[in-house]
Amino acid sequence: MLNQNKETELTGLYPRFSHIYIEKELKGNGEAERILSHFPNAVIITINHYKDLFNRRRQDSCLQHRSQKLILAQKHGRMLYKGAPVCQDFGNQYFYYASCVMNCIYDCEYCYLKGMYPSGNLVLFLNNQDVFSELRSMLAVHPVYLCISYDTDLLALEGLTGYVSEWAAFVLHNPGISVEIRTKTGSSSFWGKILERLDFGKDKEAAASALDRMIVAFTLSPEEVILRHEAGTGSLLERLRSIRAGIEMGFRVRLCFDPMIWSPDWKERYEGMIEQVFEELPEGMLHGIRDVGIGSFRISERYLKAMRRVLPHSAIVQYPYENDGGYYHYGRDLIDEMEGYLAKLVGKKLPAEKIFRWETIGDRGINR
Amino acid sequence: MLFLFCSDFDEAGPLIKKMRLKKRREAFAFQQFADDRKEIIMTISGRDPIAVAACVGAVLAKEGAGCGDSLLSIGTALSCLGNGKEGKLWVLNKITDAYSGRCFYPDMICRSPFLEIDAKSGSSGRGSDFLKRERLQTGTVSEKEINSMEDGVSGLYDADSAAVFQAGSHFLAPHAMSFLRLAVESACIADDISGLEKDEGGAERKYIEAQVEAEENGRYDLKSEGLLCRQMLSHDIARMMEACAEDVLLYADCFAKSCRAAWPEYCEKQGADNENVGMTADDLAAGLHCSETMKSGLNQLLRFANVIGKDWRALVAGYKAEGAYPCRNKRDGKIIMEKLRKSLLK
Ligand code: SF4
Repeated sequence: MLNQNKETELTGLYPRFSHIYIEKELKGNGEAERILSHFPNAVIITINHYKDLFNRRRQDSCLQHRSQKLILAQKHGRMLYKGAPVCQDFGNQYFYYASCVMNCIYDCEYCYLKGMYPSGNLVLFLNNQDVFSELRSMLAVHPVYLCISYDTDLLALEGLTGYVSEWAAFVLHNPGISVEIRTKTGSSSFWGKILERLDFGKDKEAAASALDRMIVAFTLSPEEVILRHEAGTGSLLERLRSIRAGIEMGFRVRLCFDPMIWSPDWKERYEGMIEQVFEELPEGMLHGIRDVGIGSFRISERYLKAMRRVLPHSAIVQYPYENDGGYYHYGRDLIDEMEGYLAKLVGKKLPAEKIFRWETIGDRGINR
Repeated sequence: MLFLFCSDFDEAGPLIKKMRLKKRREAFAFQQFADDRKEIIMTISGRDPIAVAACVGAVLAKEGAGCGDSLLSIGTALSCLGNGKEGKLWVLNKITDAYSGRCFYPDMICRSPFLEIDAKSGSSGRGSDFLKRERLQTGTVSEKEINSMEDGVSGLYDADSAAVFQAGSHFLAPHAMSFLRLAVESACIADDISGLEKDEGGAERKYIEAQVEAEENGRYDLKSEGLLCRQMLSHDIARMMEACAEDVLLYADCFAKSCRAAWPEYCEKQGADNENVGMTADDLAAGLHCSETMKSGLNQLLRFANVIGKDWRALVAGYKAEGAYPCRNKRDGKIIMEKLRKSLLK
């Protein structure tokens, strides 16, 4: 598929995080100060509430993304949300997600956030402790499977926030929770930091259990898709090397071939990708693959409509999808062909029970 | 189109001259100047916020402002900065309406050569009180402090930026509006200068007298201050504006370009028939006897074909040659549409 997305020439834009907006209640807050110290040259602007900025009318989220600003805020009200028809729940009954960050520093062309949020700026919520306390109350009643990298790529921000490491410490002390961190990062440095927080020196058994409940899920796409449609993310090779590093440290990693993107030569692309995946993750490493998710591109009608307005030259966004109860997806036959083909290729290396297809989980998924 | 707004001629004059703008002759409630190519319109809005909002709304509505357009508001503002900051141009990154307390944030996307600051915006003597208070609180402030001022400790006070932003945001995105303010020691909120002495010394004397009186009364009346100092300042303002006109023009050019460059995709007419060559999507839909639902599906299909550069017209020409198009009825139309779909999605 041709990517006809015009690269408009925009010179003279401020770089990412040239301006940081901070809620006035957070002035002087230790965590806020720590984040600000990363950006000594940023202009700091005090705001009353992040929504005053984030929810303004008529914003151009795509343009804003090219000169993205950081908003430091506190989240009020509910901290945890029931996993709506949004991503694969891998059969978990108590499936929730937390939104510690809104928006992403990566810029995937097909990302539903473009249709969901009115702004392209990044909101960082600093009151993680409130999320933890709500979660503790929930854990007193039932176990929880929690997606923490939901409306963002949390690992892409780990150097700035350290949130994933904080979560690791929480997981260590709360046996009822499993945490999924979806990512397209090419970095490998975070693995060691998670291990540090799991503190194997103290209680090996608890640490091993926590390690198993920290589920890092890598989205993998053919290199052509990454180059054309997943701006800023790690290359396929970088992602695979990171996965390898994680497995070598004892993690069991989830692979997500989701979203699969159609193009006239999709078969060759995905076949080439699978070859590369299993070259980098040979036989001896397959024990470290927890499971595999496969899903073709799908998105809610509301988000796609908004995206079609702002991305009229994107072939992914303008594809004539079929609409089923408010969700757009490829035609049934094509879905079966694409997902089935990939499942077959993966099935040559991994047992069927490790392979989850979006439709085998329920007709409710969405991908990112 | 770049829409420039200034409160009065003192502020606008040097820019009009530098940009070689010509007075518009057509009857309109506000004085306007435009370039030959009709890409820049400068409007003199007056200073009162209500009049300013009316002006901005009227101009943007009349010109059909929308995506790709930009608004640059240029003016003066009272300064509480001290430390020689007066006489410099600032770009506003936050505007607080002095009456409602609502804050407005122009997007800071396009680089500017100017320092940034926040401003309060309103048009009464409260501005003066505010400045006095702020001065007491802040004294002399460093550049870093200016950039990270505590809430409520604003750097500038002007009459109109909140009004411009609110009116402008009905037409333009927050990245397409920018606010430049020349910080002056004492700006003028009132426009009426009748009855004032013409000589500068006299105005200055009255100004000082008014200040003394205000101190004695424990009250600082900006209106009389404005009336008195206006004459004294108008000359200075024009001179200061002239000094920074070059920078303003450079910024205006870069800002307008960024806004245009950001929007071409959005601005382009949506729809499959955005190329005025040969058969349009509407023609095709008619030949296929499409219902409204079919038509919207067809439009999306053709839009996609345009995006990936597939020539759907050539395919339709093929159906025509086979005698399959135009179709006899909707049923046949559906068959041809499916054929077209399969060919385009191959
Ligand atoms: S799809 Fe994921 S990684 Fe890509 S921009 Fe969206 S949140 Fe970030």
